[in-house]
Amino acid sequence: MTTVRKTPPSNVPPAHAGGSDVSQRNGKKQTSFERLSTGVPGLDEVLYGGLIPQRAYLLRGGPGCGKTTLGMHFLAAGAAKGERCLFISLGESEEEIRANAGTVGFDLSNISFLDLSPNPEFFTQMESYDIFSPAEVEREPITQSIIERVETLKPQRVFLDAMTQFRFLSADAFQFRKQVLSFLRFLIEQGATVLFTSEGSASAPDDDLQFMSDGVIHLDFSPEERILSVSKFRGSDFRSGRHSMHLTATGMQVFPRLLPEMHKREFVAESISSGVPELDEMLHGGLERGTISIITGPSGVGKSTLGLQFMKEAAGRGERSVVYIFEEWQETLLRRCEAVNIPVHTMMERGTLSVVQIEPLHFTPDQFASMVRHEVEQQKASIVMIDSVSGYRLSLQGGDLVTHLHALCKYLQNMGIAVLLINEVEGITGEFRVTEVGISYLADNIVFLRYLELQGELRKAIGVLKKRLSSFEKTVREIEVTRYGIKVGRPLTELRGILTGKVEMIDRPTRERS
Amino acid sequence: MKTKAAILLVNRNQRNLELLAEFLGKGGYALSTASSLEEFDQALAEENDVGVALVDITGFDQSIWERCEQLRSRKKPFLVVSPRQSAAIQQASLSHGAKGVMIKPLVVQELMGLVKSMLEEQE
Repeated sequence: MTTVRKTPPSNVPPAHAGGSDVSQRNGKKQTSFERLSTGVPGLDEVLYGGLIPQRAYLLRGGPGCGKTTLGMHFLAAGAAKGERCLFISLGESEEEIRANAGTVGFDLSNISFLDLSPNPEFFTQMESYDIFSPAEVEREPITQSIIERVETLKPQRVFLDAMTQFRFLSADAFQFRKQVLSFLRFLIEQGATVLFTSEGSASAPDDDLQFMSDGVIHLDFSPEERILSVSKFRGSDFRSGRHSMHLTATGMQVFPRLLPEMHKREFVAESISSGVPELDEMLHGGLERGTISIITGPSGVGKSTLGLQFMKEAAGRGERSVVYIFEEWQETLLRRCEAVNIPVHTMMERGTLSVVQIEPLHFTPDQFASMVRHEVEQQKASIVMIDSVSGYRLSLQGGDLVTHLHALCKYLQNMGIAVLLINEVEGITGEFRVTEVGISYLADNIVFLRYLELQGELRKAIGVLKKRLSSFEKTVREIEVTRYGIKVGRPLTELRGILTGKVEMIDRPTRERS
Repeated sequence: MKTKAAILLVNRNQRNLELLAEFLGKGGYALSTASSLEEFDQALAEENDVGVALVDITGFDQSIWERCEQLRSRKKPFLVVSPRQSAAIQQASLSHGAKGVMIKPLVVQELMGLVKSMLEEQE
């Protein structure tokens, strides 16, 4: 590579002496509407629409992070729109890249290649030189072939893998910087949007390249998950933070971090009836849209059934609900519901219910959130149930799951969704606790279910602990799940100590005397 | 116009010779090359218009210095190219008549400048 001076077009102001901003030097104003798709689902959303054309972006990450895959997405997206695309490779050969692209299903047939990788003959040549440095010998032929190719093709998209190779062709850091800037400027003046990779590591930092580019996309890889983040995007805002990323058989997919404040929808905070008059009475109407309700209780007490009862009623109004089950098998849940007169199969056939089983350790929280978003935004679901909170924490990969759950719930709340969180408490009886995972602060409504041991019989009670948007009945009632459905009895005014689990009958005559 | 004097390139490495020929050839110099002591002797035996010589000592033994002495006796200025910075090589080179010692890798522009000034001096 060398410093090729092209005469700038007359309408382009002279370069700023001190600035290293390639696009600034190019002097072309970009309207905020023009965006170039990266071809990666989700990444365009992170970039608020895509890349700004005719700029140079750095893509950095360690080995196996998906840099080349992202580059292929970028070029394939351009080729699909009929743009001229050029892949400049300094590491892998054209055959290798085409073969790899084929396995992932990319169509690279309309993409031009400039293969600058060393050929096998290089190795079999008996002697290599030592009289001059590689910078003196190799730079010129490489530069020449790039110039010729770019000037004849005039590509609109260029992907260069990897820019750090040029470091070996520069005498020193200053030369490298000057050459890279000049090279990027040359490409941009030819009308290209450039994506170039760097092989940055602790021993070979690439900070200089980060300063020189108009945008920086980082790819990261930890045993738990792959992460994409953007740290710089000149001329545009972007969604900050770490976004979950997947490399699959069909390429790369990015799941933008959920920012609840970005989503808002007008809705009426009306009550959703459960369809059980006594329960509605306890809740003074029902659960409101846009609220988060925790249904808490020990194992087998009927929490999921209670949640599905709300959905059954909603389905009657033609509304769609979604249940994400983390622990139970879908079949078991469906059979259980059918047995208590909740016609889940009919509801699913009519599209008013979707039961999604989440396989353990298969999804990241961002990915899960993107699934939920799809249900809410595309499928118009109005009730979302997560069964259960501890299942969510155990099944999803990555840390800080309470924060993710919080963000998801806030998002759903902003979208006017009635959120039902099923929370299992470990103790069957004993000291009462709302939840064991520290999420009760999230809840607008808390409904609890308890076992009671009364005269040698195990019975169930239901009560409301909290309701933000309305008052509620403070009494505890008996609840029964029968084959005709959920039955809620009269307030258990003759009992005391339900919350402690040590239930006693209230001795009425004694009380009257006092 | 007088043709430029020839440069004798002595180098055991064929690829190095090619590269030297490529860069110096751009300067318009006539070149002759030698990649072994025999070829070097032959080049010295032939009465030609070698102006200056560039001797890469890499891969040669002590007998290279005898040839250097011959260059000196014929008043042919020459530069020694050394694979590394070494006081012993530097001393041996200068004591056998070298104008200077260059350490690999060479910088093309520097080499061209030196060759040019040496040839000018000779004229």
